[in-house]
Amino acid sequence: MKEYKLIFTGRMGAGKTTAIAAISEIPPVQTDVTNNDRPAHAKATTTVALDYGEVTLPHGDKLRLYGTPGQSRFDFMWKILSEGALGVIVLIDNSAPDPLADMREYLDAFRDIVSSSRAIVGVGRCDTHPVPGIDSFCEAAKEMALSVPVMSVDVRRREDVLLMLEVLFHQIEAAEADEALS
Amino acid sequence: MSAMLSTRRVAVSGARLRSELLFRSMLRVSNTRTQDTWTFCDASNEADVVLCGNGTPNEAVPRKSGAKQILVDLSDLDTRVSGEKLRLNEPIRITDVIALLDAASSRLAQRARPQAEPQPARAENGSFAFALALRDLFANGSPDVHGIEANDQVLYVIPASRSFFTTESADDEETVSRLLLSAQAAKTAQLKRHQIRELEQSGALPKPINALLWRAGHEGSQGRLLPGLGESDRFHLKRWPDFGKLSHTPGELRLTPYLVRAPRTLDELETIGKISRAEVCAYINACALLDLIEVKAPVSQVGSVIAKTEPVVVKEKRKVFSGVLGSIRAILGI
Amino acid sequence: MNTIADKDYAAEAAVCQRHVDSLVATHTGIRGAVIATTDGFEIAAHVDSSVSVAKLAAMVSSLSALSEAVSRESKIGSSRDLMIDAESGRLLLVDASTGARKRVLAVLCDNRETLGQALWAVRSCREAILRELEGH
Ligand SMILES: Nc1nc2c(ncn2[C@@H]2O[C@H](COP(=O)(O)OP(=O)(O)OP(=O)(O)O)[C@@H](O)[C@H]2O)c(=O)[nH]1
Ligand SMILES: [Mg+2]
Repeated sequence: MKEYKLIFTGRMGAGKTTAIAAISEIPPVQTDVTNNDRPAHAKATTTVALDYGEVTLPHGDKLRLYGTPGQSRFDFMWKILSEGALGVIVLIDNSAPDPLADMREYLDAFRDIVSSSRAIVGVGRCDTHPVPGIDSFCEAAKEMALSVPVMSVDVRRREDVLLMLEVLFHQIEAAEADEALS
Repeated sequence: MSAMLSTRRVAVSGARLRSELLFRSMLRVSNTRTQDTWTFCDASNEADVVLCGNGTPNEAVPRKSGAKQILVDLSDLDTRVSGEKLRLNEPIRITDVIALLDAASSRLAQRARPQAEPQPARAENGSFAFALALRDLFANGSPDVHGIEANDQVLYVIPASRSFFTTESADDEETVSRLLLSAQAAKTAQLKRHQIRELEQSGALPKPINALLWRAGHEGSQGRLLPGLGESDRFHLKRWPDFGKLSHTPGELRLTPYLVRAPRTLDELETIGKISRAEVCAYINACALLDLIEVKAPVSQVGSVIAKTEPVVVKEKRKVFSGVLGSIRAILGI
Repeated sequence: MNTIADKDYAAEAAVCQRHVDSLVATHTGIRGAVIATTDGFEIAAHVDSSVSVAKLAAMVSSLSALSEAVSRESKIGSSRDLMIDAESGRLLLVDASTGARKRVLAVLCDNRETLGQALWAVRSCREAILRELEGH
């Protein structure tokens, strides 16, 4: 039995918990508690340890979906959770004060995974907050010497979450195919 | 839009020598002021326009080349250049010559269109022309408002801000569909200040152009690459298109990571994406319209052969994750 | 009920700090204590400078949320206390919430304190804090 792990990360309120709930086949395990940091985000609860969801694969294999806490004070959880991960999905809330800085923070924290082409950035709330645009995110990643697909998504829609997985998977396959050739 | 400048030939047949000499000398002067450049030719069967003396038939007759020519009756007493029949009367005046030649130019241009040679994809295929018109506009990045017109539809674009708008009453999708369906070439023109003011007053709001360019690239390609993109070039994608907003096929998803990682040839992309050449071209065009494509010169023959034969052959031992992705997809239904 | 917990964070912190200080002072085997919100912010702490209070507060909240999730998942009701038994000491986590104000009290003991003694000391401290915050 093999296990594969996908990480959903990103700033508080970016939609990690929502995204996992959209595709998990079990009711997600959540560790949300009352949010006291209302200036940072108005939402009532926040994830402090992890979110956990599952997708059962053939032969009893499992795809485990982990959501990290968003705030950097929980960065120890980022490290614990990303150990051996298949890929990482970085979610951005484009209505946040500095979405580009947010992306930089998570790309940096998960740099190893990102630089081996196993990451994707999903930008949420683009309809109401079109700026910064996708180009700016790609540019910011490039400045960090990273190349990562950036898509505008709404994680409340299952097909958008699946799109991110699909892009992530195609990317992993291409990277592994290229590696095998070289 | 001003018509393309061409060089045309004029001959005189059956006129008095005095008239012919006078006409020749006038042509030298009129050439600075006519739409096209005219040269005098002696063989009347090779000329675009023949000035005929003493009652030569005034129907156009086929020339050797198969293209039509215009006959101008010099015997008639009418001094004006009129609608159907072109006349030039003595005494010949320079302004009359200019008017006559310009009228002949526009008639010749009209005739040339229906029997245009293979090159005018523009004329035969409006959607390709629409894509081209958009590409050219966005390539120049002008901050001015331009109108693209075809099939009674107008689309206003501002190249610098990569945005567009239609008039208040028009439905964007509908306008674009009709522009793409148009059989004629799309015309573009920069708007005059008063026209822009009217547009602003109509309350039209600029919208991002990307989805529209994307559609024009896909629907307007018809199996060809846009000019500037060569069949033997290699293409490199600067970044992933925003598939969250832009519709895409499974084949396009498959080949995109390869296009981002390294420049690829059309052949390679066909193999990787498992899609037809036409679909590859449509995708490359659409990406090019969004300014996402970098064109690289073809590699040497040897290099391309290697790349062609083994684009996606994967040695099993190096595959860490690829194997399981298929089953994950199947389970999730993607 | 006369409670200061939901509104006056400064008063709340002062009460907590006093109890934490006295807990560490009266038990030689207790090396430190932290009271944190369940979302990982420090309310009061008494630890030596080698420990990062901010980090401990965040970790404590993660642990307590995880133990809550595990208890729920295992159908053993709501979690109460959590103990980490380590090589040279113990970490005890107990709930110290009043009404909607959720807190965790975390206490670090060394091996001089038996588990029984430590649990008793921590629970008494918790009761004292709750009594005062709830205004009994
Ligand atoms: N309007 C809008 N709402 C969105 C979008 N994406 C996510 N949301 C909402 O934003 C909220 C995100 O909340 P969570 O999923 O709890 O976010 P999280 O990333 O888990 O947050 P933390 O656990 O606190 O770090 C939910 O209420 C979503 O419905 C979007 O694109 N548009
Ligand atoms: Mg969450």
